[in-house]
Amino acid sequence: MSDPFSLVNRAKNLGYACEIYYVERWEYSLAKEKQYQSSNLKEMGYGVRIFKDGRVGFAFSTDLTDEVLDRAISVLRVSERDPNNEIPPASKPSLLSLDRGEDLVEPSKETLKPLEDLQEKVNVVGLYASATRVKVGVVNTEGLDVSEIRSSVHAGVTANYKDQAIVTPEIYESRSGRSFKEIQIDELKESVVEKVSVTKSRIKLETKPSRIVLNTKAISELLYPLLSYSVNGENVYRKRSPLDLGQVYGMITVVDNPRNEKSELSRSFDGEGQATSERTLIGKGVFQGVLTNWYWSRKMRVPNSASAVRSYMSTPSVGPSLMQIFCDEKQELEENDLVVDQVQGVHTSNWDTGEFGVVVPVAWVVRKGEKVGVREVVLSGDLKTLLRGVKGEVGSRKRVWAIESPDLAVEGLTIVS
Amino acid sequence: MHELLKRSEDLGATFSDLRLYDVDELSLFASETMRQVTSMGKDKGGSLRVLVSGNWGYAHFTKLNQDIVRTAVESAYGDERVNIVLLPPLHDRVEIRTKKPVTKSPEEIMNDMIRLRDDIMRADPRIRSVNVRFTNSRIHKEYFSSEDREITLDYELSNISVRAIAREGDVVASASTSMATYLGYPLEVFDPNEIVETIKRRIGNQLRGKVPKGGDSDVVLAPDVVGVFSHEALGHLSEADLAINGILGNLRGKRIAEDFVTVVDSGRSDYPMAHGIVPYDDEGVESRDVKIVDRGVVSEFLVDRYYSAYLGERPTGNARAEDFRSPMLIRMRNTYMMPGDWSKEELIREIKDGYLLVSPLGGQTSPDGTFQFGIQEGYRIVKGEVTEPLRNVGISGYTLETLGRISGVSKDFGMWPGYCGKGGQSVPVGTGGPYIKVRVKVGGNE
Repeated sequence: MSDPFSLVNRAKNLGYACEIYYVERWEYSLAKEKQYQSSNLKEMGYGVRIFKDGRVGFAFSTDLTDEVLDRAISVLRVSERDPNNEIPPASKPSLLSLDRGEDLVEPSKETLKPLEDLQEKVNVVGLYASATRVKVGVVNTEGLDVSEIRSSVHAGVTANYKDQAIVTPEIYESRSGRSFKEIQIDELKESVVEKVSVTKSRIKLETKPSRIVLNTKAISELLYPLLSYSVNGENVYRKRSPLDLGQVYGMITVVDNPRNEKSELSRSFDGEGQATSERTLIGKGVFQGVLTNWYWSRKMRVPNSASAVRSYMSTPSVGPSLMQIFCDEKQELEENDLVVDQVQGVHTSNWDTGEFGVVVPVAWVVRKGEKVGVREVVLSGDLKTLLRGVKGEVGSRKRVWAIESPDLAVEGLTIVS
Repeated sequence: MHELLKRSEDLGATFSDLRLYDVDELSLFASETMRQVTSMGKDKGGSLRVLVSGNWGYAHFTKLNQDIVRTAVESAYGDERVNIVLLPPLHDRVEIRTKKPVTKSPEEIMNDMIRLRDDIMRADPRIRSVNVRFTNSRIHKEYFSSEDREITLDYELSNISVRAIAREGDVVASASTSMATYLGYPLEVFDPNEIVETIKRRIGNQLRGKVPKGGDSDVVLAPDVVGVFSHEALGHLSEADLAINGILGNLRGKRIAEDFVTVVDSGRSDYPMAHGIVPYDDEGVESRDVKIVDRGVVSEFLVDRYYSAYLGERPTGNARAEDFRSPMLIRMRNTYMMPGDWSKEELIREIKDGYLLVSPLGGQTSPDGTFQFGIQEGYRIVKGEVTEPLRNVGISGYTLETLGRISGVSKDFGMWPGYCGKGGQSVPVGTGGPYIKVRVKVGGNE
């Protein structure tokens, strides 16, 4: 067993630039489905990258030994000689407060217990509470030495209505943050009960609505993955993104913000140890910024957004953190707007063209001030049409997982009922 | 018995089992702009599960030590009502041998990938961007239980997947294909030219394809699509943990389709791409074939030890975990619809105005019985003839309604590889079937 500093020094003495990304992870999770499950994970892992003469090699292990360094060196020649294969520089990030330092086991249990009351009101499929505390660090031969502890917590419910005659779609509602104290359990429960109630009797849409409203949850399920792919510098460089830099796509502003301490995807530094900062990706409709890691920032000749994401088992790729969506135009929820809450099948989208066709199992229309559930519709379109079709924001801002946004009123998508 | 299990008993466990994983991973990536090793190393760790006073406790670890037992026992939580099927003692060692072992170095494999990449780019000048990925996992698993079951599994899974992008004017097309197998090096087990031809055909079709009109339509689904339908629309609903809250829960013994519809989940198939191989599952249970629908009648569900006891169904061997970090979930293995009597051509001839849907893009289902999946290769059928290609197609519907609408099943049969996601875990599965004629909702963009 070695330590990261000794191994980096050994690599340096052998004439290689070297980076070690290390993780010590602890996770505790509770689930109540038909039976209770309780789980406790402790793992350590190390990803070793080697650079020399424009080539890069990589190996990982759950034990840090000389062997992992030798294996990384052994595959240097698999890569192509590319001047952009260069070790990231030293960086001194200002550290966020991403761990409250509190016990997370008992609060997990205390979070699960009140959720069990839901069994009296809806058909509970599953209740979940979990917590993660992870120490992440990066050291390299350039003098980089950063580490921090990040914690996150999560509570979730899957529920539907079921009797001998009907089974309604499963509704999954979750809340997350840095501490269980930040999660409002009563609000989560009320949301589940209301949505199950809305879907209990659903009408078939007889006329296609001219406008839909994607609520924040639907935005996190549909728009977030499409945008994540499209603003990735690698995809933009390789013309695999449906969006072109400098072009105008509607009017919303999208900011990637890894420094919001409440979001569990936030980080003081990225997977290459580089200091993070906010980046505007789309400014009032103009696609103006991409996310990069060190390699893609050099390849594209743009400032690095420090968006390297990875596990210790893989080389860094590029990924967003908390995406914040802003819209200057205000709209009111109107009668017959179709409010989309939950979609399924987003992973069948064509990421390269931005085309999607998803089933909407949870949606409603507002009639005389009441939410009326709607039977499944298929919502299809593409990312550009979606962005250009945004007519304004509806309601207040919310954060759902990796999105912070108001609901968005959208026109121009196809609805098949 | 393993010493950790003895210690678990000493601390009050009435049942315990230990999974140890040692997986050698290699993952290579090549595109038109870069090539590199994206992952290589040993993923080594384990998971100890204990049943203490009717509650489960789990400890997943990378470092094996005596503290693991206390962690697992102390994490036990619940209502003291867990009851599982116990099995007789068993010692077994299973090694699934490859026919074309991966003997090449990472550098030599990368050279093969570069050749494949270049062949694809030459196949159609409109192709501007190609991703070629190769993965190989050499898997060694050990299972020990307090029932004195000791099982060792050794097998290897390899996959080569390609995704290409083409542009012509303002039209962008993308196509993908993959070949995965437990038989060894995919570029020797299969013909690499098939990959090139498939990508070329799909790109060409996408660039000139028409978006279909949305609505209900008669279609012929090809084996690849039938496999995904069997998996997504039916297989998930038969996973006992989902079935008890879903539409299949009350339908055991009830007819939902014609006699010629039989759907099976199996831990072993001879088809090279049926890589959902599970001789023993991750709970040390022998794998057996499960007829989810037997000649049109809902027959059995996929179970783990807990649901085997809960439903009174013989164990099936469907408990799987992605890795040592993950808890076991009820998962499919190789799921397929059995072949019938029709020929593919006869099914197509029956359709006056509809579609032939050849290759899916993955899909999703909900326990209320709705399903949806995308299609990357499809054609319009007019008066029994296959005509123009399609683009941007998806299909959806209600599983029970759709199964009841199957009006023909072909003799032709095929199996395809896939990866199934559930509960944040991904496991390799096989999906397959014949050609079938059915009526579904086709979603287009017009």
